[in-house]
Amino acid sequence: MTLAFGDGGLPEFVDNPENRCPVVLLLDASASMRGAAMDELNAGVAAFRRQILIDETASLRVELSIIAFGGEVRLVRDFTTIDDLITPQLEAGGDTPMGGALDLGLKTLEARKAVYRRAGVHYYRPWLFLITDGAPTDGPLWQEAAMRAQEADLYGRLSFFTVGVEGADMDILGEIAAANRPPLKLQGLKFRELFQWLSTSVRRVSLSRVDAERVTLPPVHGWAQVGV
Amino acid sequence: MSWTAAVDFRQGADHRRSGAPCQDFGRLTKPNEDLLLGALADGAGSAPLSHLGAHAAVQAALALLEARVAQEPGRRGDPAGGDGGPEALFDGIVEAAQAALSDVASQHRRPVEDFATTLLAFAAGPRGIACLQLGDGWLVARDGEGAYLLLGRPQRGEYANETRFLSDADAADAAALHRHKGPAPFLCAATDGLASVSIDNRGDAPHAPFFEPLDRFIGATDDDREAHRAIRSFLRSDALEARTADDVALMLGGWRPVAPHAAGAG
Repeated sequence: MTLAFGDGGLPEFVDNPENRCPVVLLLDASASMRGAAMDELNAGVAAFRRQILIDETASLRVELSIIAFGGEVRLVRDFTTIDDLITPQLEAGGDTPMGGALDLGLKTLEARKAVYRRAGVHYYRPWLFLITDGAPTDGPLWQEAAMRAQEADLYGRLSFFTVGVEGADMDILGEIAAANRPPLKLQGLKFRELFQWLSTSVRRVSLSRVDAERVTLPPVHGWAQVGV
Repeated sequence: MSWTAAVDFRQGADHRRSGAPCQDFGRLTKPNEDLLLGALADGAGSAPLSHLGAHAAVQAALALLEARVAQEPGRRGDPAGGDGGPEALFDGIVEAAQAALSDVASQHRRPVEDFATTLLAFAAGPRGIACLQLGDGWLVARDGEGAYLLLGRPQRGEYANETRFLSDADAADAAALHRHKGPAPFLCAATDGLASVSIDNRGDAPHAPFFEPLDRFIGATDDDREAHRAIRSFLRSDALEARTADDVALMLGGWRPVAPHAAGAG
């Protein structure tokens, strides 16, 4: 076969970094999650990793950071692409410092964006995903952090989702959630279904060439209670 | 003395799989031997009829540019030269393309957002080039010193999947004008689908090893049809298909100060 450009040779492609889609999970690991809930949550995160790995492009684009809050706030995994992610086994214990977790999540995301910009990495709108079965126990910190998360969602700096597990204070979660994205209540312990939904949604965004606001996310009825 | 130039576009693998049409479109005209006019448009993936929008925008932009250079023969050498600069050359182009989008929208009785598209329009003469850029299309030129220049940065939002469209209310204000004074014997314009393989993200710098073979090729032929075949074959090559699943449009232009047979005759 003749070369497309005759004697000119073939164009050599530049090796640009992949676009990235950052996702931060804020996971409740307080004492009340002990037992089946914690086990199912861990299994859900592992399922999320597997679902993303099926898609070669998404596995290079989706970057996950995991922050757990139970007794203390811990950055369990700093941002790493899914192909390099070792899924953690979280253990439950202590109270629910949700405000501190939100604050750390927001700071981690902003720091990551700065890294992307310096390295010339193009990125998609970040996801901040909060899962809890309780209410914040770290004082008024959550109000200020929630306000920042809501503002960030409003101005398109991230997409902020909140999910309440059985026992969660849905009223407070309603105050934490972004105005256009009210909290969802998990059916039973359907963490795997939740994370399947999250992986499908994140893949859809990370492979899209369309305005993030126009990406249609799949329905949540497989895992969330309707009418909460 | 003339331009050798061609443009082609192809449907990306993503759209082939989903059954969506190719939403990129481009056209060139050479109103006289000195001038090359062109326009490329990239229909928004989120807009169901954006392929029609891309077509309408390109036709409208080129029609107005052609009429303008026909009325003002002084623009032949450096199209954006003279009074008013690029502002005068491209005056009313965005509005004309928007009107064309509105016409198509009303014919189909659909909102104009369904036809959302970017637009890149340019005019090139032997002593200067200029382009109007709305969205993430781009134009690279080699200057007289041999450096590859990106005229303006592709307009992206903060996020990888956001850009500017003709259907935006402030499109006329958002459009950027760029000008290069002096000879630019090689031109390459493309839609966003090709940026990831040809423009270094760090600093939006043209990747010279991508452009050099294209430059050598277009500089060595005076046959537009041969150029078109080569672009077409490149856009459909396995190597490129493996690197970009998006629709792409690519234009190459080469300016030859002396016709090949005249050069041979010495």
